Amino acid sequence: MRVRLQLNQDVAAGMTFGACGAFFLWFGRNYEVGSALRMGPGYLPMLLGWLLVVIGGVLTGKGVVVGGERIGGWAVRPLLLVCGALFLFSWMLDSGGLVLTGTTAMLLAAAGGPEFKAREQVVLSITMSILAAMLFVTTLGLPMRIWPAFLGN
Amino acid sequence: MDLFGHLFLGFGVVLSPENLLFCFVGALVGTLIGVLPGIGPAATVAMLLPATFYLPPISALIMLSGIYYGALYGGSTTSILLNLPGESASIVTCIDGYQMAKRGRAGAALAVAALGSFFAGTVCTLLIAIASPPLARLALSFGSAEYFMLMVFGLVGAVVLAQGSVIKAVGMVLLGLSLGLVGTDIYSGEERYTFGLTILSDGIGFVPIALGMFGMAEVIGNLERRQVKGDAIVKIGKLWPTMQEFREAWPAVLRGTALGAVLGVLPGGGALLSSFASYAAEKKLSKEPWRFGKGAIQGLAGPESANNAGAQTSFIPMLTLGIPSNGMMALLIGALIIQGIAPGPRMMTSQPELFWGIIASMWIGNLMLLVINLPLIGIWIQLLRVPYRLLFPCIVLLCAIGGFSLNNLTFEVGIIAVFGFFGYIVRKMGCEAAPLALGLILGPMMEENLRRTLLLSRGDPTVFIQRPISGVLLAATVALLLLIILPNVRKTREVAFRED
Repeated sequence: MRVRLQLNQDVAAGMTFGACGAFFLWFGRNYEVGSALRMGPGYLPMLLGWLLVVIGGVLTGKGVVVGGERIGGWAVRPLLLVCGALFLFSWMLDSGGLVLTGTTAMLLAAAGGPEFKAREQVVLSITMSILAAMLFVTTLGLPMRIWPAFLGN
Repeated sequence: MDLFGHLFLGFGVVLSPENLLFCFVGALVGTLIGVLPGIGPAATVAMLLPATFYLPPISALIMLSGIYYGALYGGSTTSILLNLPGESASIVTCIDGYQMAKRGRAGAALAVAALGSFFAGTVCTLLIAIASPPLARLALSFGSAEYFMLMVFGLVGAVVLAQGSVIKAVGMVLLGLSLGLVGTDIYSGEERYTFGLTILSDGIGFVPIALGMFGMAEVIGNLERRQVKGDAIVKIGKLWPTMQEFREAWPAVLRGTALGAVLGVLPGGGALLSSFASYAAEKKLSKEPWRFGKGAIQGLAGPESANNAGAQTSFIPMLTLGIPSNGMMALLIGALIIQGIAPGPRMMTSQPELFWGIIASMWIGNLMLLVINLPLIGIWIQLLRVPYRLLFPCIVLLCAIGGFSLNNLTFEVGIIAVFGFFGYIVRKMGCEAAPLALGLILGPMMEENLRRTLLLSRGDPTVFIQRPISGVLLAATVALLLLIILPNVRKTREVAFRED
């Protein structure tokens, strides 16, 4: 049997679980573990962290030895633009207000879509943002700024 | 007599104009997203969770449950008419439903699907009303040991019966449990994994994680493919089934209802598993199995009844024990927690209006769905023409506002982005989001109960065996684990989810 190293689904998932386990173990290393009788705050984090590492190891091993399905067809552009739009919203809302922030975020996300027609997306995002401001801020009273801070209101 | 008193109370709650409205909205939104491919009920419920904050608890729950079973009705419509499952539990409906439609029996297929679902919904509403009080009463005698074992059993069951790889599901559960650790430890007051951020001292919110993992990851996944398109829409034709079709369909409806009702209660069960299992069963029981895949009405009536039955009875563990059996129920428990209601056996006695109201609303909702779906089918088909490129930016905006509105913090929108990113990546590795949601909801409860149990027993772990109910649950958990190791069970499990 030949062992071929390829990044299939199982190997990738296994390494992800392992990395997450290592993350929880490392950042939880200073919590007091205690004993089964008096569990400290660190008991379960350590247990879960190790279990994750073990599961990750088993899965990686299975992926290397048995092989697994290939990972393919990453939607890199939608992934970055949709997540970017959310980050932008989170960063800009307090000063930019809902209308400007919503419009920008929607346009950014839309740029990750299948076909981007500038005019219809601009109309859609401005309309939706104003509607959202009317519904959520004016009617439901969500404490959000509607217009940008630099307009001085 | 007691039963009727309770149902009377429930119907009294639902039949208020306000609650009827929310029941209708839930059923309508459910149908809508069931018809639209590319957005599922879990993502929708996650998106609406923050909005429910402004509603009274009963209206919120009525609406959210309506979305769940409404999506099943809507999903079957597109399966039959376009060979396009609007929703994962309707995948098997495509097989025989679309074939029937191609032979000019689309109307009959739609009618059988809707009537079968309605029948299953009615039976299961009654079943929930009958089974819940004794279960809740039993659960009231549970101590922390029983609760802990029950949750372990639930998690293991959810993993075993879930779709896809068992190891990956275990990993996702562990990850969910670990994420549930973030925040202040209730026993020592020490902050865990907060990195000095005060925002995190109450833990990472369930809603932003759900919005990211279910909502955004799904949107990004949909953008991979250029455009979701089904086959040509077929003419609907006459709506009423013939006598012979009726005679063939009703035994399948009965069997589907029974099967779905049982499978729905199991941890990990629900609509998806029930529909697959029912299709396999109908094919095996049929005297003419070759007709399956060519428009056998049993292959449509069985799974359609089963998925609705399974969806309804999966409410039983959620309502009586406060334990979610699938991702959808985890979201509904999230909704209860947002409202400040502790889910569990006490809900039935402390919030009887809420408890019986939800149950009664299911029957009303099913009745509404029958009306929404059968005569208005043409409208739903029109909706398929809304292009996804216009739909998804609106979903992103709604998710962002929804994430903010929970605590009025822009930070939470950032968490959605992180988990949207992570959710998409793990999807590509073949991991599901539902086990993570289960772990996240159950994690803090499990830790509390485990630590309390061991504190009371002075660190003696045999307490889990000594207490009878806890011992039985432990044995059942071990049995489940052994089952999955047995090779032929594994094979059956794979077959159950892969129906050609």
